Amino acid sequence: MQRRFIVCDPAKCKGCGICELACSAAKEGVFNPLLSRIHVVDLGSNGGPISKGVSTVAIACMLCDDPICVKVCEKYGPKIISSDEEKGIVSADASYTGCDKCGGWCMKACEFGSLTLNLKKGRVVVCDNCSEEILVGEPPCVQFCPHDALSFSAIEEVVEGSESETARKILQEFSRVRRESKGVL
Amino acid sequence: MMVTVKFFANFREVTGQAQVTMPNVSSVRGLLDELVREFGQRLSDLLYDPQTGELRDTVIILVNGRAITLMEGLGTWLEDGDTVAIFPPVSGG
Amino acid sequence: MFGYQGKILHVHLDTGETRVEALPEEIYRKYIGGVGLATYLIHINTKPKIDPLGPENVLAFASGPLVGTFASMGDKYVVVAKSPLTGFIGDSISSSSWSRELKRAGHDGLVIHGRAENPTYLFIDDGNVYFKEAGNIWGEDVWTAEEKIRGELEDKNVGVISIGPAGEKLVLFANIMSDGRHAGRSGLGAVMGSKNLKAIAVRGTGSIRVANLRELSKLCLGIYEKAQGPNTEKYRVEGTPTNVLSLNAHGCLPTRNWQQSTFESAEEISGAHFLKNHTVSVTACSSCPVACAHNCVVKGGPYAGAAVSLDYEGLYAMGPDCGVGDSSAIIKALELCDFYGMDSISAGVTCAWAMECYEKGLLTKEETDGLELTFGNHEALIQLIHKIAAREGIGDMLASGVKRASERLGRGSEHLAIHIKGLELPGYDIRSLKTAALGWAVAARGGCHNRSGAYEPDLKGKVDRFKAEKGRGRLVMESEGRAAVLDSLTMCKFLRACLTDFYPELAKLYELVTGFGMSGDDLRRAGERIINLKKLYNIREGWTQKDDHLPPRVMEDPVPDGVAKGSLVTRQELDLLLDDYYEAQGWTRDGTIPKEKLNELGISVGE
Repeated sequence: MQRRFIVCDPAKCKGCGICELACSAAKEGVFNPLLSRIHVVDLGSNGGPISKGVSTVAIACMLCDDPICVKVCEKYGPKIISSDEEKGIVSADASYTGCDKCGGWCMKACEFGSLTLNLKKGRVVVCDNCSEEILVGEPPCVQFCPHDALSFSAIEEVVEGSESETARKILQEFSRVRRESKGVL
Repeated sequence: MMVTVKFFANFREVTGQAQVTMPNVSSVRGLLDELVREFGQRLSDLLYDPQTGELRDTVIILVNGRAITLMEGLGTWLEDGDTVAIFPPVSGG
Repeated sequence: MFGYQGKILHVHLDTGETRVEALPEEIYRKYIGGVGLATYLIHINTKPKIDPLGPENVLAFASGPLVGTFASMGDKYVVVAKSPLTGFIGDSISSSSWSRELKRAGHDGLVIHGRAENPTYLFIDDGNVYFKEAGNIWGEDVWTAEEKIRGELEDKNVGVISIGPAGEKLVLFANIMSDGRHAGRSGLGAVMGSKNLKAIAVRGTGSIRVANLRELSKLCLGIYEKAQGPNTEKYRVEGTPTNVLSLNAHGCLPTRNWQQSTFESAEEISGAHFLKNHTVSVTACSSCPVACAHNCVVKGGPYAGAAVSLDYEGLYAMGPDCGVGDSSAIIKALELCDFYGMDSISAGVTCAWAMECYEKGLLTKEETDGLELTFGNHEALIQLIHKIAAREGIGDMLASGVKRASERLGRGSEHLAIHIKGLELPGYDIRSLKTAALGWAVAARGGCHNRSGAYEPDLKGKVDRFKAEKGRGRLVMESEGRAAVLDSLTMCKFLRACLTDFYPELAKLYELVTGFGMSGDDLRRAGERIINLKKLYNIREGWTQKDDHLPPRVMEDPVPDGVAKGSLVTRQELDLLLDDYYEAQGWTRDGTIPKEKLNELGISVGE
């Protein structure tokens, strides 16, 4: 099966955050950006006259080939994150409730800041392309993005269309900024 | 007979002109037909609703500063030396 | 509750006491949220005829019921207080994620009472309220203040609203800012300054629930699609600066303190010019499906590096109205207004008045502290902005707004003061926009284009804009009602053209979010109720019919140039328009609200 994931075009992203709301509504039934599996990161905004930085981008799970989150959870954590090769997604055991007692290794290890701790459920959550909820069509974040910045694409399509190394560096910078922000439950 | 046409905002972008002069047009409708002939489908799309064929709500046309909606609409007659301005509606900021 | 949180937080700066008030459901149904709710809150939490800069004045903040959901169409907060600029209701709205944070912290509204002894900022952290020492950020501009507060709280995502040095110095048109956007008009930044309150930081981690998520999703997706259609193209492409050339062609671009109505340098400051030479990015406010913020930067020359999120009104005030045709200088002037935290419309119009006074010899070079205050002299304009913010020299007089400045100067300069109820006018020459002239004259907060869209029938050619006639009263009344509903739902007005059927569609949105039954007609009625509630506040504060006025220049100096040449609004025309409006509202001939009208609308405050 071709692996597809949520891709954001920084040239189109306006930083509105609607994807975060669409995600938390679809996955949790409520509106709360802290419960979203996709995160808007504002690059280059350090206060100043302009409301947002020169660019914003939304990041969900990048579906790494050999996911580091799985490895660190296996080695130092409760061993609840696994990679589903068939579906092409990473997922956390939905019945587990002890993530808040772990050192948060997966969240620290992920280069893209893609994992989120849901404090109420005591479990780490990560984008799974809404593989359960969406039987047809696109994930809600893609559907709701009013600025047409998000797409649900195969890795090959994205790599072909971009300077992948540069894109990777930019994404890492975004995720660095994101990891510096607190208020991430 | 000569009419001056001023384009603003998206109309300027589509025509690539800020101002043109058009000879021998007697009504606003005739003028718009000539302009569409000259500037093509994109201008037509901006001006008219494809379903109804009517002038869009998002088009304001003034003849010498007066809105054509208060005169004869597209049938408003033009005279030599008239200035016609075409733009999207003004709204706050 | 769905959509709402059902609670209002009260903070007393003098005693350090905080209290949470649960509001009855009926109040939400009646006043919706946003401007309706905040107006209700100042009615019941203040005594009449108080000093706007005294500790008895309160600042009431409120979000709308849709805020925090994807139906919000731009998260906004409203702040209402007695205005130090007008002495009447001061209400101002800004887009900011702060609004969503406040709601997620558990509150639909926040009322600030009293005055802190020392510079303070508040930190609302979900259910906790902390009074924080603000000595180290007092005097800082808003960007530095925001950054320092976020640093101190070790949270980059905390919502912060703050005042700049202008608010601290009680510049009467100081604003409240957050993330580079403003609750700009009517001087509420000065009210915050008078309370020794530098900033309010909020972190909310709660969730917002809605009554019917499935149906709401469908409705919102439909609106989002239209939000990227032809009705919003002007906002997305050139942004509101596109108005410069349109208004110039209409002969409605007020220039050199309204001495002209067309500007010879309009092309050099057009929307297209800024887009090509200055715009570096176009971004969206929190939860906005349109994205209109045109972030402009000066790339070279003496003002290199200056930056601002550009909108038409500030552009008009610092540009044509001050005779400035240099786009870089306009960006610099606007950046300074943001830096100091003051309303660029009021600042620009007040500077334009000073320039005309100078050119006419009503102000001497000695009185301007040596500044050569001629129209178009942007170096002098920029010096003047610094002086206003510091209340230094001539700046002290100007910092009180054009009404008070002209009263203080005298010498006939009152004739040149472009304000209504003390609020400086936005950039539409209402001498040839007669529906708008009526809308501006009656607006509760004074000279303002946001509390009714009364220019729309004029500029869309729905009515003859050069003519005053019966029927305009109803147009203004209906437009005010729609604006009040949007300002209470706190939905952005730029989305208004994306609704197929205004009231029924908004009522549906409201119902799906809150679960409260609401018909289109109920919502229209709520808009009317809110307009009456604001008016009732003004009456309480001493409003009389003479306060529904127009600037002398609009009534006495005909437009000298352009297609609107010769236009003005005569006394007879204004009287006709006012009579028509009061009648449409069901008010008395002298413009007060009869008891029966209040009963009919179910308004019972002030009893």
